[in-house]
Amino acid sequence: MKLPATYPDILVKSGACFFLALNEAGELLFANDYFRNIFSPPDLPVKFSDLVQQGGDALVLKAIDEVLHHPVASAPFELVLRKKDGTTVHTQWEMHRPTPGSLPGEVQAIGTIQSAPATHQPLMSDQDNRIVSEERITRVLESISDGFFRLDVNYNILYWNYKAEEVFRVKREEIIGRNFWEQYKEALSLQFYPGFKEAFSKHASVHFQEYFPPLQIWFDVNAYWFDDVLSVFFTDITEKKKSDQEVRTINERLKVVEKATKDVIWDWDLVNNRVIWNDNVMSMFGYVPENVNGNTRWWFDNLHPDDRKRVIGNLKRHIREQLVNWQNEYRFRCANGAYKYVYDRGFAIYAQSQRPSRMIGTMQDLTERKASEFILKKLNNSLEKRAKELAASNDELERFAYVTSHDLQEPLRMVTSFLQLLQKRYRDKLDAKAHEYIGFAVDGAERMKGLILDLLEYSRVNTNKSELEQVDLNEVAANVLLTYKQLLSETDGSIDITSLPMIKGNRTQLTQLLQNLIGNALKYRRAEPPRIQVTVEEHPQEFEFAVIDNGIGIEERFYHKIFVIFQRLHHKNEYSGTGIGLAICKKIIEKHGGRIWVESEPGEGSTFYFTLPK
Amino acid sequence: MHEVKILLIEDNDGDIVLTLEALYDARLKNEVKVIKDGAAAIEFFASATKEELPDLILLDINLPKIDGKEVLQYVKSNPELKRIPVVMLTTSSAQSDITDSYNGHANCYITKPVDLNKFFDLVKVIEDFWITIVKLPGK
Repeated sequence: MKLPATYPDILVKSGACFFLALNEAGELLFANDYFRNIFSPPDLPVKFSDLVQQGGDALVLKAIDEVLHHPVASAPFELVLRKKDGTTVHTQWEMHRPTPGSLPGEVQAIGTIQSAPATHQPLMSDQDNRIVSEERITRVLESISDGFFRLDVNYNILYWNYKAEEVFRVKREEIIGRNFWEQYKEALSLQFYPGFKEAFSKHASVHFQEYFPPLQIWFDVNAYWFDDVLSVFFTDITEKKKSDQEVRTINERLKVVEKATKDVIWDWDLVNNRVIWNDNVMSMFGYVPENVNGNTRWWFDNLHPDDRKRVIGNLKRHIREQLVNWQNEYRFRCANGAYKYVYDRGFAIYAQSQRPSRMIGTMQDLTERKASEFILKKLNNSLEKRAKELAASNDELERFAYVTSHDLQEPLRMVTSFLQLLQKRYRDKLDAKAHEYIGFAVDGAERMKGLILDLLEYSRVNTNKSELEQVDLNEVAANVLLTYKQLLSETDGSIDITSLPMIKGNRTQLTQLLQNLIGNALKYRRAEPPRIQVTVEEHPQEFEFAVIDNGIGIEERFYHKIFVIFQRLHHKNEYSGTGIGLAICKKIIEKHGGRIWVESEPGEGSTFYFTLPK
Repeated sequence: MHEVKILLIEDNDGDIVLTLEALYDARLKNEVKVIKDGAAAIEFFASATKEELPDLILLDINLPKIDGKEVLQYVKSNPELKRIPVVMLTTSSAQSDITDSYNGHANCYITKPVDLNKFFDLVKVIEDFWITIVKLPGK
């Protein structure tokens, strides 16, 4: 059979709809496979009436007449048809007027098998029909993702699907036949009771959302009344409710944050190139938000011309490379024309197309910070410069001390040597006075030599980091004790040294340090035998050492003086020395990153403290 | 024993006098020639006859024009001169001067003592050692 192109493919191939083409006389011109499989009409054309029971052909002809001769697009009718196995089936039809391009006088009929058994006597028994349709319904109700139950007019549970079992955690065998309110008393006081009651009393369907505390679940409920049975569909919407609540909370928080922060908050819709600025554009830049909301032009125009290219380039690159967190510092023009330094941070959101869809960010006013940074930088620079100058002058001073002390030795050697030569060669020709004068001159030169050598030594205390090594101070102390062994026995003195730690330092200098301090303790002793103690105390960052003596002591007003080079408290006749020892100690300690100080009681003794970092 | 020839290369007049006094005190009969700068010393070596060459050279480091280290290098690279013992006699105790001198084949390096008597003793020791004790190759 030839198919005119005008028959819709979907109807021709349908497995659920009958599709027929008929002429004005009610003869079948075309029937789709679905129809032919069930009713198996002989070769077309055939009279529709041959298949129709109980004078249904009149209904067919009436419908044809209606669509052909009256201004209606379609006409419904129902037929009982005989299937090829001799049984009958109830069908519903709609007759349609011909479509353009179909054969002259041709009409089309679309029909389905009526699912619910009609009031007419069906050929299938009621029971058979019910079983088939209930099976189908059950299958549907069990497979849907919604929970479902049925209640009769007394709220007794008639049906309870799989999902309901899952949500309420109760098997249908345990609950079908029971009263819903007895099972769930809590629901009486909730929306469930008035909702269901309304559906029953008004024969209507109801919809509501309600939280059910015993299960801690939010329900979305649809209840349909039909013939005094209530079909209740429900969905667990707890997650959605939660996230709705979260969104609300976040939005509220955002509103508070917007009020609390001084930062400008912006929200840029990149798809439509629209930006929303929050109220802080007024407080920060002096612009009215309503006047500046819109496209990005306003922002672009107010970037400092010197920053614009850099910032835009940076932003474009950021988006091109699909990076998320953008940040930049730039100057932005205020309403009054002045520029402010801002720190702008944005967060980009990319849609599935991987195109940026949205960016949200904040602008922070850095102007004050920039100003103080600038001052700090200036201060730092001048400090650095001064430190360099100081280091340079220190170096120069040390070089000067070294050179002068070295060069001073040469002429001094001449003075001493020729005075001695004078004594040697002219011994007999000089009188006693001349020898005395030469003696003073030689003595002066000797002392000068001492000073120069001390100065040399002082200038040599210059530790490089590379010269640092792990030094066992116990070894150092033992060496120093050896030096003073004779003096100790001569004075009947004693030195008590506790166990000392390892120190990272310069061995020679640390030896000199202990030698000077212990030497001083022995030198500035009283008549009684010297008693010296060396102790150490451990602190988190450093060791604190003490050299304690029972010597002559120092008045407090001289505490500082004793550490200054060539400063002496005593006449050279009382105690020999140039006054360099403690100055060298101070320099050694400072080179090692420590401190040195003294506490003393005149006539009782002194304690020299010094620290060395760990 | 023939007269010992000593060449003193020293620019400081005081040191020259002191060294001469010390050598005068020594027992040995000697002839001391003094040259006061490095350039003059090299000129002397270049024109000296075999008989004029010294038995011992006392060489200071700090010399005008050409310093003692360069004079040392000249002496030790010349086949005629290199066997003459060179004693570096200087005020410097700098490690670099000591190292440089021995690297330049100085026979010994001595820092001048400050004390006069020690200096006199030292000069006597030098003369004793290099003139009396040590056997030298001769001219």
